[in-house]
Amino acid sequence: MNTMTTTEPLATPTSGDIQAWIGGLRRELNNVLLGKTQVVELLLASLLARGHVLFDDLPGLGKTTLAKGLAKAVGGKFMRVQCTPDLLPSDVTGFSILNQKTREFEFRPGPVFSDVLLADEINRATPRTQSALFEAMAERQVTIDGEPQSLSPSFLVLATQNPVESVGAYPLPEAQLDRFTMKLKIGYPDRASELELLSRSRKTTNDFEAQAVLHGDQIVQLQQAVTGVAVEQSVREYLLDLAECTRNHRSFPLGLSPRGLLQWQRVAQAYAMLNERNFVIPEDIQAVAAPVLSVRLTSNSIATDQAIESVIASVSVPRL
Amino acid sequence: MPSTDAMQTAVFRKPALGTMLLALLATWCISLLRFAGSSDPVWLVSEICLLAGWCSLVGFVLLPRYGSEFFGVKAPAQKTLNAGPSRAQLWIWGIGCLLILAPWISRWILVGFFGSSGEANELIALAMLQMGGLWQAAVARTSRQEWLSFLISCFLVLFGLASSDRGDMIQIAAPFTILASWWLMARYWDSIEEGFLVSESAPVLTLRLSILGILGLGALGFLAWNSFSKDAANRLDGWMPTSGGNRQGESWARQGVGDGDMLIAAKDEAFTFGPVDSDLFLESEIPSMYDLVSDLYGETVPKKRRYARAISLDNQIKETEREATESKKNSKEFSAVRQPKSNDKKYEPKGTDSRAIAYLIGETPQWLRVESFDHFEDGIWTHSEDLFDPKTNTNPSMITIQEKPWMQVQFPPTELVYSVRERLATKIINFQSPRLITPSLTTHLHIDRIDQIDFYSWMNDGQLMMPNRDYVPQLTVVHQLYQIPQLHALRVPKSAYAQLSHHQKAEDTNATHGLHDWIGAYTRLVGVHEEPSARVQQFRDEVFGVLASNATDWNRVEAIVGGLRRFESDRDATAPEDCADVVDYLLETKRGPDYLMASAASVMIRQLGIPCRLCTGFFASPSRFDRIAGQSAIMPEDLHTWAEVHVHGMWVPIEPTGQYPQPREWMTWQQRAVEMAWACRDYFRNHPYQTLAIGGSFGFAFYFRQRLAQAFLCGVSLFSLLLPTPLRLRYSLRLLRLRMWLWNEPLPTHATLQQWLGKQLTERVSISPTAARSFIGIAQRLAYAPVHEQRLDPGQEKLIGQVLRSIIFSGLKSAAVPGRISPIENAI
Repeated sequence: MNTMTTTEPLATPTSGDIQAWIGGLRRELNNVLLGKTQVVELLLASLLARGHVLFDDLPGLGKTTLAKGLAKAVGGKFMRVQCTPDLLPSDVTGFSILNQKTREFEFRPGPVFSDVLLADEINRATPRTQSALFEAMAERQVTIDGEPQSLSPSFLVLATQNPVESVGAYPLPEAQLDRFTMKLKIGYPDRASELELLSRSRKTTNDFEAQAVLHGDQIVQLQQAVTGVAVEQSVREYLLDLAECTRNHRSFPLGLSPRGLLQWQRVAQAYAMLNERNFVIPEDIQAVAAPVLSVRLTSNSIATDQAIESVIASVSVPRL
Repeated sequence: MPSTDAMQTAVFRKPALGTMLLALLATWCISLLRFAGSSDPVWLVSEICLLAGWCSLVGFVLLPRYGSEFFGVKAPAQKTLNAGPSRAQLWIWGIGCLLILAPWISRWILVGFFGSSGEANELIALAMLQMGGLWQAAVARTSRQEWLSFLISCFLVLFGLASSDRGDMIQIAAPFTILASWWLMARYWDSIEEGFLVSESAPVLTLRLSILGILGLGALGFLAWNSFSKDAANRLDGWMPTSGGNRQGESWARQGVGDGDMLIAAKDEAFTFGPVDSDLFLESEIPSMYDLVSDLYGETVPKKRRYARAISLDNQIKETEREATESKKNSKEFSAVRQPKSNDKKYEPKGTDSRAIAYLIGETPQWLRVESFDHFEDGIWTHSEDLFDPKTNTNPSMITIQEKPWMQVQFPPTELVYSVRERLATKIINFQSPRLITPSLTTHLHIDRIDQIDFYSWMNDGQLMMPNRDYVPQLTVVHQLYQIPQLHALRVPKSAYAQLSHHQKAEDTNATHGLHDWIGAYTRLVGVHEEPSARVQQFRDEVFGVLASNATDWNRVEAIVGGLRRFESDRDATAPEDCADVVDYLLETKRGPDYLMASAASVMIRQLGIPCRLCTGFFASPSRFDRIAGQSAIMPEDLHTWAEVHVHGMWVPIEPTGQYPQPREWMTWQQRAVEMAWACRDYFRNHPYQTLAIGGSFGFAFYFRQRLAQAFLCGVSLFSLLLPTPLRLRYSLRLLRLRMWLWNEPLPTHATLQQWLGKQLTERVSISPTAARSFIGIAQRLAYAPVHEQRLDPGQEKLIGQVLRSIIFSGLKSAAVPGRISPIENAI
């Protein structure tokens, strides 16, 4: 099993190492998904913040490609689950089967025992199957036959859902949405990127595949380095003001949870590190606000993005 | 369990503007009290300085909490209750203590270094409490602090209401009450709302115990002090409002926070009416009006012709002399030709340490009349026996005002001219005369427990007196109501009050009988029959030259008074003994004592046909106001001579001596505005070039206001070059923000440093994007990085210096199209 389950203390990488690793990862992902640098940045931020991502967009925009590219680039084990209504929880977590030769039960790990799990069209799985992912996403372990099984420390769920087809779909409950760190929309590429895409596909019959630029330990080291990014008191208060504003905003029936607040701070830390800073500035908070909030807040009046924009516009930025 | 962050958000609230508004209203109340209780205008300077200090505190502490972009001050970090105070909080507490102590310190400075009399202890204590309330309102972060400010405000307003009977105090109290009710309701709802969230249970027991402990220690200390020094209790005199006195309802005692006991005891007690069985007064020499006039103005020059006649009639000499002496002592005449004073002899009473003639409680300056003279001949003023005004002074009656008997002395004939009434009280100390000392326009008079009208009488010149007494008993307090004249109508040419002269009416055979009688009684008050001398004519031409053709009589009176007030006032410049015409002499020398000025004014006004007379009495000067006793002393040297003009039934004082201020007149605010507008017009007419220059300057300043403000701010920015780099960066960016605000492009609340500054630096200051990006990175580091990460290398310092110099010296080019900054824009 090729999971990253190292327990030895990791050497502290220098800032040069960190930026080199991040640069390689960024380059590979930008090669996979053309013209979507901001999406790539946010995906990287989520990866460094140990957060799961929900892609919410139309078919054919590169959701699966990006997920596969990421799995390849980080050099981890990639598994994919195509969610359908008849998918069972054990199909996701794994199950024990009786070995006829040894007369013993053997555990067959499911797709969650990987580094990157792509749950395609997750809203087509039944709620029962969706909830099988709860424990795996939140605690990075699953309990099978009463036995807890640890998952990879860099376990990451990339789920996709199609927002336009609602027939036969089971919308994700709020409890599960809150376990995702961010919701990303990819959108159509720009003209130059599409031109490049056409040019690239003309020469080959295979999909473009990313190269592995990191290994599991390096991902863990990057994730540990994110915790060292400083968040000053004034910036934390700004974050709190924003959270308080979502709780009092008339467009949001439910405000931001403390878990969401913690994830927002962590993603902002990761975003600061992606921008070669070891401290968080209000721009970081604002830049990750929309994907972090849109996954867990639903507006009941105006569009969610618009409501999030009004939240940010109504809170003062700490000044110099 | 809520997180610590969530809890501190719930515990601390944003300060309410309502609390500050209530504190400001209370401040207004105390300002009125200080205004009423201080003779020295420095209190206003002190008040303004204090409020300016407080406003600065508000600016730096409060406004950032409301997201103000103007000051851009970083709000002090919020702490949990058990956390130690931050440096910013220590600063705020320090400034607060300084503000609270500022009234006391400012009095100490003003008294010690500028010779000011300072304010009373109670007023200083109130001002300190007021500053405490204001400060609490500004820095309040918990509801308890707001409650403290609210309670202080309530106390101050109630105190103001209780200790003052000013009408405007009630006008402040009414909105205060409404606001306070609203405030209480808001607190109530807040408390309900917060009751479900988190209990605001700060450990206040310690606070209460400490306050009680401090008070207890203070009381113990005072008791210990009192046991050692018997005088200690008296040291509190003047510290407590309405201290002393056994009549708590006495309005004077309530207003005059000071030595209430002595003030009341010496003021209204009945025993002061009888002969005082006190060695102090029996042995003192009490001066008469004659003594005072002789002391101050010099002796009268004897008339040679009468003396010559006495040569042949030896027996009559002594009789004539005796009569003359009696006449003088009874003040039947006043000579405008007097001998120069031989020495600086001043009246020094024996047996008492007070030289005061009387004390006045009320508005100063005040012209207090003792005698009036209506006939002028050969340099001597006399009063006629038959000139007692039959119309205005008949039928005096006793009426009851505020349950006290008052005598109505005269009736104001026209509400237009006499509409405002004020009150004063005089207390006779060392003055031997049966005449009462009154303002010219006294309408009502009251002496405690005197309810019989025959207790009063009139002298033949119309002055009130006490009959059957040699003089008014010492320590008699005479309360009086008097009118403030409203003279505006007298200056309006088409007004019914424009004409004051009576000679034309006297010649009018169709006049009514009563009017004819009245004019007849005053025939001797006007001097139309006298031809003005050449010098008088010249003076009149000079002062009337600036008057319009339709000038009213009062305009002429004011012109004459104005002309005389330009003369030099000199008490030693007496007229020579052989002077035939003192008026001509004064107009020639243009200097003289007040009685010559008053004589000249009277004579010249009478020559216009306007009734006028000479008055002698006392001038109560504001400079003699005793702030502790709340009264003004009238000293022997305050003896003064002025004139009175008869204006539609009453005698209005005029002041022709430039050394003294003009008597007060009442004007509505509309009239004041019109007067000011006319004064401005006159100034503009008389100074056309200055007017043009001023107008041009204002126009220039308005047209180039933005550039001027920018230039000023650039100048201010230059001072930041002296600061260390982080501070310089901080203040330069604030000034840049202010300059952008002046360009009507304020920084949006949500815009981050990168979004806003990047745009400004590249578009307005023309800095390369690379340098701008580096500069912004450094600025972000200084703003948001931990302290140990904020060190700058020499290259960064140099870059900051270059960019800041570019910002200071750039004219801030106007951006072509100010773009909107998107809140989630990922700039640069």
